[in-house]
Amino acid sequence: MKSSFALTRRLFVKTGLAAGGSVVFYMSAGVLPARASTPATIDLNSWIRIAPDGAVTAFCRTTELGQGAHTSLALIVAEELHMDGSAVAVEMAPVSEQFMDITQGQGAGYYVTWGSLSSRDMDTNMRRMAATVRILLLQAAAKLWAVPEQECSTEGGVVRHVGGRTLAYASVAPVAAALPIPQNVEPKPRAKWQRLGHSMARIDIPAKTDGSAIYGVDVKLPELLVATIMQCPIFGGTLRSVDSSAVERLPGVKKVVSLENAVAVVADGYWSAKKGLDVLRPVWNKSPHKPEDSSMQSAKLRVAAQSPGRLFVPVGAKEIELRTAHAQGMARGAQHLEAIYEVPFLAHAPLEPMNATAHVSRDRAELWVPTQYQSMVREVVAEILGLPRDKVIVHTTAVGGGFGRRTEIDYAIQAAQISRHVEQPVKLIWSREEDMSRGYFRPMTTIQLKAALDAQGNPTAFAFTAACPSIMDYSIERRNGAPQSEIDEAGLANARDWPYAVPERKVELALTDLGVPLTWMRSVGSAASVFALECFLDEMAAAAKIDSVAYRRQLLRNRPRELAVLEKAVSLADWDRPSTPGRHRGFALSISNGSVVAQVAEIEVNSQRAVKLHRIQCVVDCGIAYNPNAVVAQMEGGIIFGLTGALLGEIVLKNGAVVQKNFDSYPLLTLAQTPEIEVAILQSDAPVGGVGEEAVPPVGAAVANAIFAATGQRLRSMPFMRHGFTLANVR
Amino acid sequence: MSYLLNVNGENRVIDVNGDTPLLWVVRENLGLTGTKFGCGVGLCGACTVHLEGTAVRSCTVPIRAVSSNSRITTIEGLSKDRSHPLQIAWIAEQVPQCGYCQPGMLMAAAALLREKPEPNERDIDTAMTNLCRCGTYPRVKRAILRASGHNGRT
Repeated sequence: MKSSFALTRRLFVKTGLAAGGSVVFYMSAGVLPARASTPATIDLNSWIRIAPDGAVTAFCRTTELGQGAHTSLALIVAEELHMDGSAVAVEMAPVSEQFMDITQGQGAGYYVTWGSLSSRDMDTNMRRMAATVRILLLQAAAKLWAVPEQECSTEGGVVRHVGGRTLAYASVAPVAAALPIPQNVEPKPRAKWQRLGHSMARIDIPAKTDGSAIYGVDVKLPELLVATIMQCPIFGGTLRSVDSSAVERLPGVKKVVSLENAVAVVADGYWSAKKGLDVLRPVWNKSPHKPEDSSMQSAKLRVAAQSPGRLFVPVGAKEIELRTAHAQGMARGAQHLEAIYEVPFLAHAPLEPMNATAHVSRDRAELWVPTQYQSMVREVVAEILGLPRDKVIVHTTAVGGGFGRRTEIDYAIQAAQISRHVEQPVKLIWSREEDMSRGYFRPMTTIQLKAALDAQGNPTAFAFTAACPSIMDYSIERRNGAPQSEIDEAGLANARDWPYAVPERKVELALTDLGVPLTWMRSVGSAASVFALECFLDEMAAAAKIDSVAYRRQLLRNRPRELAVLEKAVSLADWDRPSTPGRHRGFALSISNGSVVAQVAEIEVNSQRAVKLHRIQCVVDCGIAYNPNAVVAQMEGGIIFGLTGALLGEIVLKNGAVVQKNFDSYPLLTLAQTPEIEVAILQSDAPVGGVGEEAVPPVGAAVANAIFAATGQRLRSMPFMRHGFTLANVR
Repeated sequence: MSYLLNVNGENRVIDVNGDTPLLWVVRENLGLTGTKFGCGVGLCGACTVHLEGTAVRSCTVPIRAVSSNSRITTIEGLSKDRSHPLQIAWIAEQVPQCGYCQPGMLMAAAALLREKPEPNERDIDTAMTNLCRCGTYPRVKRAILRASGHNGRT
């Protein structure tokens, strides 16, 4: 999702005594951002606290969204400190400068969960940090015993001397805190891992089985009021007026609060607030955007995709040479293919509707937010309320699904504004209808592809033009001033870095605004790009009269990592043998965030065009799988998320307003429709890659390719059910 | 209006407007926040509780439709200490991701097991219509089979 700046980093570990006699180890790094002229020393997030009772706590700036990030952190710290994984607790770090990540993006510092970066961040920072702490503890014990360091070892939370004496970490930590910090401590090599790489039960799960996990909607405070909101149904519209007198007399209703583009009812509980809101008749000012239907928007993108876009020119290449070579490659082709692929707007629709709780007083604000972007909540709320940032306290609650939607902070700002207005703590809860219809959405995207093949079917040139609106025109992230291109071209990465031997590529982006709020959604542009690429590759294979997997094999001959993943998937699915009669298979492969994923979909389509999803087999090479069972869970979840988007999901605008309001018109895949899912993890020497988003992109293509095998019909637009199919239960 | 309810074995009197859904009574008047608000119209099942032993979507049950002294069980009352066979199976199979839909899933599954102690996969398909956005369905199914004594597939 975000690219890192080039860094030169030198690690410092600092130590300190905290309240209650705990010893805190924290890390800072000398960082030289590419854009800065002088190095700045800024603290990174990695803290480890050892309490007098021996409790070890790791602090984290990654929101636990169910991806298992906190358990991975516990495993990393436990591995390096030679402790049991369950002996390390994980807490969200305070949202303050010292915990910000300054290694990504262009902002002042990030406290954010996105881009499948959590494990990768931990890999680079926390392993080294924890390894350094272990050496300090060892040295401290050696000093206390006046023995050589080499005679000491660590295990199970104690330092042990060869003579048999032991000292608990907690008792040597204060001495360790006063020692000079050893430099350049290397973390344990992978071959010596005893905990990392083995499945560990996730630490967040027990509280999610008895109702005790506290999500944003569950926050309780003294004197807490509850608000719900109606936002202008047309994007860009604002509130002109609202007659609140009758509503404010309803039982339980405290106040009607007008915001710039919304009106909220504050009451003693959600039901009173909702009943009040239901009878309000706000008058809206028109949007500066002309109200459109999605059919018009889709037509605009089709035009844009077939017109020249902004060409991606690799570093060191010249535009004119690239264009010439592409044209020559096209001319060499014995046959030419062309197709347009389309995906609609999608809503994230996490099961927990948007909500936030705020308690704003004159000189301070405290917020409880299920959020992926704590630093932005703090920054913007401080600005809007006119408070210094350190007077805005942000607590992260448990989060009922993020998928990218909670990188936007609209609901947190609203909660703060409403609380300021009523001068009391307020919990704002959006209805499902608001959550579904008020964005921010996954961009509608249209992709035109062209290929030329020689007489043997080998590609000689390839063109890819994506037309979509820009996320950076709408996301709150635009405050950090990242140029449009960097972000929106992320969706092009799959075409640029397509692993197949497809020469003379021309990759273009045609940004086309549609007036609809947008943000990142799980796998971002890859879901659209990989759908187009992996289906079009099947079209190329068919034109070459070669089996689609054999064709891929041939084009991956110089890519051992991708080829290994392909071969593993092929053997798992027994691809080279005919499929079960009546069943049909499709293949797709993608690379994103450092991970390679291949999937085989096995489906059945009956004469009434009812589709049964029998099975999805998935192979992932994420380099290192810290917690394999959690990686499998992320693959399963990504596949189901991707299937919902590919087969069922669609946000449609009519006269500028969203049609879909709830799960009846925006269905999610159900348990009965869910295929059997088989996941294999292929370990490799590659650095740790993402797993939260990476199962999403190929699944749509794998299913579309299988539907082609079953019916001879190419599905070039999502959702597939729009093409006259129905989705049947698997059994 | 006053209503007498028996929630998780305790008698409770609450004073609330009769059209208030059971969901909000449980969450806001009784402070039992394990039962979740997801859609408000009975489509997602995050609000599933047991009313006289039957799974209901509490967001569509107005409190005045609940007869006096009805037995209501929420996720907090499924067991005192996560010892219900489904809770044990849920942890063993590592079911939840974000976890938000899971109280409703567990309550729907508990009602299924009470009715059919050894459900087959089709029974599970029919009974488990709760929605999950994270995609925990394969594990939900496995955990129900595990809790009902199947260690493999039926």
